[in-house]
Amino acid sequence: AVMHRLGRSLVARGMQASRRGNASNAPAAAPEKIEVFIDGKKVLVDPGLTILQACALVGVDIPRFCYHDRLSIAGNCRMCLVEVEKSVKPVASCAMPVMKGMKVKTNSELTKKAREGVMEFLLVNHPLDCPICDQGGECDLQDQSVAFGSDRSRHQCGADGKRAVEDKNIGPLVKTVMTRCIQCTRCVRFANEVCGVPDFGTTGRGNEMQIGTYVEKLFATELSGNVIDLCPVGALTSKPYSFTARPWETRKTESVDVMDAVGSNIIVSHRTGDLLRVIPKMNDEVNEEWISDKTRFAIDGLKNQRLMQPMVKGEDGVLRTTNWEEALFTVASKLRQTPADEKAAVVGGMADTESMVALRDLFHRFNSELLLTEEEFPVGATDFRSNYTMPDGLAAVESCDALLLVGTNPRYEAPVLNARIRKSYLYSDVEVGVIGGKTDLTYDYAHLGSNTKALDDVTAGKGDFAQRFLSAKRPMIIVGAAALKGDKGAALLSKLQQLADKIRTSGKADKDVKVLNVLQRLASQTGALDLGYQPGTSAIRKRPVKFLYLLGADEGAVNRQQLAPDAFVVYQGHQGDAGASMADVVLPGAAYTEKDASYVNTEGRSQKGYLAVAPPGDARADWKIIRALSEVAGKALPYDDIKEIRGRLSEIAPHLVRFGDAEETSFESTAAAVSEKSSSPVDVDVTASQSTLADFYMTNAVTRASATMAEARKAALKEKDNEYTETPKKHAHA
Amino acid sequence: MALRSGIKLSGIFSGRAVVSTPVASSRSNYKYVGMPAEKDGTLKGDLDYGLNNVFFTELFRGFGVMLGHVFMEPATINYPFEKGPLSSRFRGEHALRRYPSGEERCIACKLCEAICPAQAITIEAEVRPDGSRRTTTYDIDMTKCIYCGLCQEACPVDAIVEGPNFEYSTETHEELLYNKEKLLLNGDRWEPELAANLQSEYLYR
Amino acid sequence: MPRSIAGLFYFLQRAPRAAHTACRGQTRASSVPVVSGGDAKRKPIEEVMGTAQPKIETITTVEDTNKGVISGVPEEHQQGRTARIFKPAREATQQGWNNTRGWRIELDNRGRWENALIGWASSGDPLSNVSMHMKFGTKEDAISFCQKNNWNFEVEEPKERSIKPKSYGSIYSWNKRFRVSTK
Repeated sequence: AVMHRLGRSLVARGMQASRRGNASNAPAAAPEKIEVFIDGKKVLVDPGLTILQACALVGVDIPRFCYHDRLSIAGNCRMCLVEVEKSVKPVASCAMPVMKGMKVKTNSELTKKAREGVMEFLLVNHPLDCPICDQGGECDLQDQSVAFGSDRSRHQCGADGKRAVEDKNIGPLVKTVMTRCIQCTRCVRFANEVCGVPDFGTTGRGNEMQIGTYVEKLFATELSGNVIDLCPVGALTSKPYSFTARPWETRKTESVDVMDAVGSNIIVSHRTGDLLRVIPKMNDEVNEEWISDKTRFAIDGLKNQRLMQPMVKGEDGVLRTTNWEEALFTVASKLRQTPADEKAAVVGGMADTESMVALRDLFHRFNSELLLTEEEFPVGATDFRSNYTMPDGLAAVESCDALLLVGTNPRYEAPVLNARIRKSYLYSDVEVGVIGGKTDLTYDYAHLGSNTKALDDVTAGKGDFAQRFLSAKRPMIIVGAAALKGDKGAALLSKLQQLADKIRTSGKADKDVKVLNVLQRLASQTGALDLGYQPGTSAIRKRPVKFLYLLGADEGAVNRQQLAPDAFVVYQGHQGDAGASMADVVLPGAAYTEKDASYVNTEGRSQKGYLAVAPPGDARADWKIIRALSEVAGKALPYDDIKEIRGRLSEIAPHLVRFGDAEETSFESTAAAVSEKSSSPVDVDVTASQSTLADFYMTNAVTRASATMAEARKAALKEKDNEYTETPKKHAHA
Repeated sequence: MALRSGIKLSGIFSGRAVVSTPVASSRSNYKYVGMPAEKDGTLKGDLDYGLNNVFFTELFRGFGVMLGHVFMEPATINYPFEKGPLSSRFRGEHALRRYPSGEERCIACKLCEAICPAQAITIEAEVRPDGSRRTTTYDIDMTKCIYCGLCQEACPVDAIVEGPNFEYSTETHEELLYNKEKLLLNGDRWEPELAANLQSEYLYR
Repeated sequence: MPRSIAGLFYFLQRAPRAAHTACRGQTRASSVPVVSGGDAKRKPIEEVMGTAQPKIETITTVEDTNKGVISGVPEEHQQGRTARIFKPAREATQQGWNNTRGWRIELDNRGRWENALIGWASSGDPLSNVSMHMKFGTKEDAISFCQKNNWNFEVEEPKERSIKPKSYGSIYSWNKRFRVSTK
């Protein structure tokens, strides 16, 4: 034990030294490419690639089970064996780096024999579960045994037997049938490396090897659903989706997620008008290949508490269902009657850009400019895009070398971004400093305090982290939108802008680094601010509002007491939550999977989502409802189909229709100059509201209506009593 | 025939203008297609033709055939009361079988739905409250079905089978869209015969 | 072909013979319709094939006379459709990239509703399955298909994967954070 401690301290000191030495993360000069022959074809590849990667460049997919692009190399499945000339044994292509003049044969006799042999071994202990296994039809083992395996088996089931393994309980989201496990260890590496939750491991060896948490533990991470995609067989499958459908009968629609502001690209699987599941779509700039658990599992909330019929409050004060004509006429007449300065609109977290622009145009035609968002933000700061987006982009955290997180818990506010930060933490020497709550972020960080007075220390350069931060080549500040509430929030933003300006002008940072990034929490916030909505609902309290239009606003930012006594509230949305319960007229809208819509993510990237299933009942797409309302109210909006409304969007802000690209911002220094500077430190506690896994699950109307999310939250709360739960003290392995 | 002329074949097919002396210029590479001649020109032939014409010979031959059939046993069976023999492989009305314990066999693997060439089977599945994998909807549109038997071949647990029943006509189209209850009921009703058929057939499947 | 034509003409070149020696069969020669070799006059080959035309350099322009696609699709489902041309994304649940080759077209989704009779999905859109199994080799082929059908289209550029160098030894690295102490 003494030797271990000694060794560990030596290693730690060595790591610190090397970290200080590797202050810069500048990429080395592009290495010279080397030539490799793959199946006779000559390819020039970078020297650090493995044979499997080099073959992938050519378009040759070598079969594999344990190798994954985004995890470390394990080399334990042996399915990737290929023949390399001059080598007696077949070579594991996932691990072997290419060398000059290497001749690789991916289809030779030796390779084929190796693959058949490996497949035979894998199938010896694999149960005959294909008909009842959820992975059937999308199973790597099935496909590879057909393509590369032998057509006959030598296994005598009765005589030799097959091993069986107990199922492990790791929570209400991931179903485990461990008999099917082929011990590829992808889940182990994922939990270890990407999630930062080293709960998965292997016990036993040889035939008796089992993968699991050893003691019964919840797989307590917000990215737990991704092991379902990773597992090549049906050992880890989705519990809510279990037994529902086969992949060949589903249709896939590409869309965008609105559970958080990252705008992860998703693929919605649906069949005959039923929404079945959500799986990620690869987008290296936004979400790599991961999606958070809310994105994946909250869709069953779209079947609960849905608003399907227009409703109008009757004389008895109770909402009763009606038809569209009556509802629209009621709203339109009130819209016309109310004077312009007593009208207001509040937009919630999942509204799409098209409906927001329609609402804005409608209100402008009635001379009202009181268009607000639920989430607060310093009002004066919305003039410059760099103040409320992430000008550096989400992918920039990978090349960052000093990161300051202020008032945000990216682990639960944007889990995919947190995975990226952790990736950057593991692969490079980034130093992270946090001003906010001291929670487990899955990477080590310097906790500078939860009060923003610490920001002044950083600006002044007091402390190790501050020194590092001010002298970094690619520093980044990520401030959570929740920290920027109210006057103190405005002051905080101003301080951050000054800090960012100071870093940009100091000359140490690279020229293209924008430094200050705001991480929004709501999918619609950036779009609303782009369209000119005012953030925060404080303006409602300043004057009596008689007509309030809520577009999916369910967080209770406005309640009846803040309005005039006889106020008329219209709620347009898709879940029956807080907003609908205070409404006089309810107009059923469509959820994000049910409409062609676009959303602007926190980077300012506008992304398109497509219609997967039709909205239920009488619900319609949101912008169409507002368009119909405008017609009934007498001031028809000038667009009739999606192309025309997107044309209107391009009139306001051209980046809103340049889908998939994040527009560069350019007025950071001007914004800093224009903001109100103050010399006294800002004194506000910016601990993020979400600090544990249980806080992660139910944050918006859809997740609150979802039974799966309720189960997950229950399990997370119960996990606190589990004596085996522990958070690693150090996240870097040494 | 073609070679009798003695023309060199190679010359013909090479296309070259090879001149060789033809012995007999029989144009042997065409065939006559047309009505067969009724008479062949000989006296006997003409006589036969005339006599057959006058005495309607072929008619009387036909009568003879009829008479022969009058004394033969007819193959007709008296349908509602007598039925033709059926093989144990006969593919008729579908049924969903159960295990001897009463548990339904179908595990919602959807292999039958995938292989059905007419896409007649519609399946929806869910976790049953006891945790097992079962269907909530299993419909076979008997009007789309082509009774090929691929579903019973595909089924890994012998749940869906095609039974020996072919007498289930209905008066409305809707009744022929079988849902799960109907199929299970079928199965319960026909189980002894289905089991006997399977017992005699399983070695060949 | 040229050989058999030449052979045929070779036959026709020979001196005409009596018809009755031509057909040997079971019928009498007199009963067979007569085709005499002498009836077929020899034609010079140029009369049949024509003289070789000199090649003239022509530039052909294709006029887009797309007056209406004869596809049988009702007007309301053919006009005003928007097609999305894209390369399918890789199935997240599997590692193979073969299905991402080729471009596909997806039309705007016109929705399905539940049939009251038995609960199956009914659809009014005859083109709802146009994306099934129709793959195009290039983006341009897909675009021309959409143009031929008079659909509006938008092309989505595919997101290519970036293959970054990886090394097996990095998990054993001594001083990097990435060292994996467990497997």
